[in-house]
Amino acid sequence: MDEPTRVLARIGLGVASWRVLAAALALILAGMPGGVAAQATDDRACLACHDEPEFLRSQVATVAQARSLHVPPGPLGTSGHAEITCAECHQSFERFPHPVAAETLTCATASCHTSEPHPEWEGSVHARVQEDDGLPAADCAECHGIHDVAWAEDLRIEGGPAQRRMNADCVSCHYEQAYTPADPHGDSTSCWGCHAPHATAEVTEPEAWVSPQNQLVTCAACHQEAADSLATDVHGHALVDQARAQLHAWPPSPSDSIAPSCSDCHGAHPMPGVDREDFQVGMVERCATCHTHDAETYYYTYHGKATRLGSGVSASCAQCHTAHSVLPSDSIRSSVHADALIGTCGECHEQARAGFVLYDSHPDPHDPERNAVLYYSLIFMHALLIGTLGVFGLHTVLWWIRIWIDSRKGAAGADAPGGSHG
Amino acid sequence: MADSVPMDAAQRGNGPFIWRFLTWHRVAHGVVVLTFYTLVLTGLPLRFSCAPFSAGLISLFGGVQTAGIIHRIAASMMVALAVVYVGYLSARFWRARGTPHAWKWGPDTLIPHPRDFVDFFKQWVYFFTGRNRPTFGRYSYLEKLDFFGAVWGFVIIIASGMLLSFPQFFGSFLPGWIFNVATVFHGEEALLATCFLFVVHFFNVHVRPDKWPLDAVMFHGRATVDYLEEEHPDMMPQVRANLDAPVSTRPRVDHRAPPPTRADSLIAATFGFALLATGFAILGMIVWAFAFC
Repeated sequence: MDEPTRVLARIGLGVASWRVLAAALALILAGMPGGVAAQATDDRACLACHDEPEFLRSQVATVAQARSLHVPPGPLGTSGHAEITCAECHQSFERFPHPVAAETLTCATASCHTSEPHPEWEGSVHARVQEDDGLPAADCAECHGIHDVAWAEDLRIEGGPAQRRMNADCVSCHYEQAYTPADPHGDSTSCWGCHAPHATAEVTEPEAWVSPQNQLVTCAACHQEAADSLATDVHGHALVDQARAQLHAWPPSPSDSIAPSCSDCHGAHPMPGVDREDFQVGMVERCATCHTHDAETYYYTYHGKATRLGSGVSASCAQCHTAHSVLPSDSIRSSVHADALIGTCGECHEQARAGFVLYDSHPDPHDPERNAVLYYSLIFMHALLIGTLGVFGLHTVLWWIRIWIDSRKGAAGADAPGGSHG
Repeated sequence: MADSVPMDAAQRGNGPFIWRFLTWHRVAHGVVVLTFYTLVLTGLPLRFSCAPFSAGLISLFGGVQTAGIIHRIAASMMVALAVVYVGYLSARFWRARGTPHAWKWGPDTLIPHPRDFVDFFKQWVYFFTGRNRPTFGRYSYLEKLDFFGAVWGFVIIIASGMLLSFPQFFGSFLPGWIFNVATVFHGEEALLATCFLFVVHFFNVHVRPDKWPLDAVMFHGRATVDYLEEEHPDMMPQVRANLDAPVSTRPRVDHRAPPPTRADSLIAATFGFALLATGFAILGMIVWAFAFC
């Protein structure tokens, strides 16, 4: 800033002030009877100030306020609102200085979007949060923006820039749910693809798209094959039965949920890719939350031990039981049915034969009914272990004590240490 | 060094040094020790897969797959040693056929002997009364137990380990549940061997107060006459008869030996203490694991 400008600034007439005067002039001209029509008061007059961050900053107290007043023309020009002028929404802002009580029309009050998603949104969690938590409600503008509002068609492009931008808006509040780019859903899925665009509900609400019983439909939109398969296996049946029970129970109690939904196994935020070793390894722990005894006996085997130590190669639950066609071993369609075992085990053990599959993948050495040989082998080995270590452990302790007693006697002059043999 | 009491129990006392173990014995012992430690460290995480240290320990060896390969390499070396040892013993038996050799039946033998059971009983009497401590020949019942305990362990561990290493081959003619049984035998026998060695063997041989902290006779192969009189008095008449023979630098059992050099002692102590420390650390991990599993 050169010296004359600084002087001007001190008396309140900076370069920016000239813009104020110019804008005021334009507004006055527009308001003059018989002058330029109101519509012709095009956005250039508004942008004269509102595209000048430095000027805006000089007029208000904080940077945040200045930023909220800043309307860069670039995004505005390509947005869905490019065709409407500022004054259509910002009515009664024509005058300058702007009247303090001037109101801006909202999306609905502007009679543009009244018939659209508004009713769905009104019942959603985003409309309610205001009352419940004192948090700001996420209204139209929170997600859609105003000046940079995206075209609906652009928002439907999976992984497109409009979707990414709106995801970023969701994450600005739901930052704990942010996906990393490594997440399979991280770069090509919109938040509302799973959580519904306007009827967003909490996971615990039965009507939520991501509620356990609705996941079979919501996830199936993309993962049709897995959902079809799941619908006929034990987990899918349990899920459907549970949903049916809840349908008839009032009030619904989703907290009783025991049937595993998609997210119970795959997680949601984050959702690790199924090809990742840590997903396979961690899967056992997730299955174990219900199948405790099966997990316990699995850990008696090499498969279980190696998996617990982080081997992604050793067979874990889904390698034998499949992921989405889990069926009890007495079902003819089950991967662990007696007739299917040679094929199932044979996926890793090429030479699996009828005898080989007599291996018990869930042995219980404490159950003589199920594993008699194992049961008595363990008793024998434990008897040997405890017997040997007991006798010779005691031998060790007694020897120690004897040498200690002898050395005290020796110190008293009775005998040389250890010289008592013979 | 000369004035103070040596750390190595085998170098304490007076008298010339006597060769107790041949190079072959020491190499065999060394191979057993190194392969055993490798096998224990790579196998322990699987036996106690639920213990908090297991994942870290296995990753020291490059993860489950790599540790498995290391385990199998060490196991192959151990099996190779067992094969060579059986060949060596067979040759000795063959050569001694028909002769009433002292090493087969007498104070020099490693073969169990009715007297060993008497010695074992007398030792308990000595623990309680402090009198009539039994005397031992070249190998006490404890050393025979170490040897035959190892033989038993080799048989169980190698048999079950072979089954588990080649499941597809053995599974083609054996029922699959044999692998369940082999898993139990392999794990429990390994646990028994580890606990026995790091509790009983370590105490009897190294940390017993009158030997503390180390007995390196198996590392450098020799011991003083005083040590042998103390530990193995019944073999001494034969040794004393040999004492006038010239010093033999090439290990010859019961011949006079040059005292271990400083380098010999240093190497023996380094190995000995490293193995003792690792052994006790492993024992600590087993105790720790039992608190979790």
